[in-house]
Amino acid sequence: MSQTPEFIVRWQNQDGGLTEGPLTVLWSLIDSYKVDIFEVSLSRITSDFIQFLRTSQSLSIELTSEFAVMASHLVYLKSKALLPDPGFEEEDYDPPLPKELVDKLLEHKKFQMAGQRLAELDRLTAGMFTRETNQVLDETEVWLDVSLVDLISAFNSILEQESSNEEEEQIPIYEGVSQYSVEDKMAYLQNLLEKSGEIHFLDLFENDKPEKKEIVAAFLAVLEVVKIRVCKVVQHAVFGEIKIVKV
Amino acid sequence: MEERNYTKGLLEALLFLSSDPIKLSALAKSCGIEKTEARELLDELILDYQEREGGFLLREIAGGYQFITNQKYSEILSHIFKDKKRETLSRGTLDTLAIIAYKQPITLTELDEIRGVSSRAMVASLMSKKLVKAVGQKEVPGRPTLYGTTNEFLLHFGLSKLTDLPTPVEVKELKFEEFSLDSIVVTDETEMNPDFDLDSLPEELKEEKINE
Repeated sequence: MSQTPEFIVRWQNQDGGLTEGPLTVLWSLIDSYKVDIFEVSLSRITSDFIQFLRTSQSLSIELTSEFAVMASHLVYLKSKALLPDPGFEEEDYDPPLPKELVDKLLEHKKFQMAGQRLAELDRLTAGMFTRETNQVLDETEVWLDVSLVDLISAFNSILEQESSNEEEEQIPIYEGVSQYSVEDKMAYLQNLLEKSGEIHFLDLFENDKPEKKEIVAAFLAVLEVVKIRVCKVVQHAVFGEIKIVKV
Repeated sequence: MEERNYTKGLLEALLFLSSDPIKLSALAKSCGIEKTEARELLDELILDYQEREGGFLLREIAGGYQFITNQKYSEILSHIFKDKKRETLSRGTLDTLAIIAYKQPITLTELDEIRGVSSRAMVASLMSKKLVKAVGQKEVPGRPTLYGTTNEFLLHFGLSKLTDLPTPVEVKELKFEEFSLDSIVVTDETEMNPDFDLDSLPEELKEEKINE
């Protein structure tokens, strides 16, 4: 008779069930043997497990059906392994744990260790505090109707940028290439609006450094589309950025 | 450059005012910048605080950003602010939670299979702590409830997203020395949160009333 290892079992009052079930007990048995799980003898663990049941009954721990089921399962596996195998001649064959039980045990162990990791995280984060008061960010953006003055100044700032490259007056390759008409701009605007529903101010221009002609055409086009109520111009309450939105 | 510093400071101010984590999108919107730029500035802020090694840090958590006290002061702070101290969860609770976290969505039966014990009360208590929620039903006969972790779970463990969970050890690498049963105290594992509405539990978790 092998020495019975010491067990500590945890149980819960509410459910009457053990939180550390038979698998945990099996593990602690395996640990006490100090051998690899693949070398554990099925007979030994079965008799030890049943021994554990008897001991704990005498300690008057309320045992649940789970333990009884595990015990009977072990006895079943053992008897199955001991059935005479025609191809087997050895006298005292000591069967190892069947694969299904090993897999189950390893799975159980894996999550126990994952639980241990969580426990470390839990300990770590339990001591990190946050502040109590809370200021909730207002996530609604406020866009105000733009005033004509702001609109003009927006176009003005683009014009000023443009003046810096005015000296290198671009010679059009041929007449008409850089002719911007207000109609074309309006068509361009309405096309963009159809696609995305809104246009940011800088997207009014087809290139990064618009020429004066394009700026003027864009300005007039914006006034025109606002006039015919196709869209309106709004400005961000905080950042002052301007965009054109569909009405 | 100046504008960049201005925006970085603005982000810092917003985070300072809010005690709850603020989502990246909300921060970017409030500062009128793109998400990528906001992320860059926030990463810088996180580093700034880390290098400063002061009383608090900026952390990324549950998809947002939040200031939090430095872990090195946890001991003394929990003495000074007694009501702030959070009870740590019991091992049984954590093991169950680990299985749900890695295996979600998972049914009660599958959970019992892995743990080798009934997990009904455990799941009910995790639900009352808002760490676990019902996430649907499995399309098999009986349509059992599927369980998964909540946003609260991420907050509790200081995780930014589920994939930040430590990877479970591959079973092949297991050595038996790595594991020992802790000295165990008998506690009531499944204490419910007193403000929890029991009726919101799935039917399968409710206690059967047994007249004794």
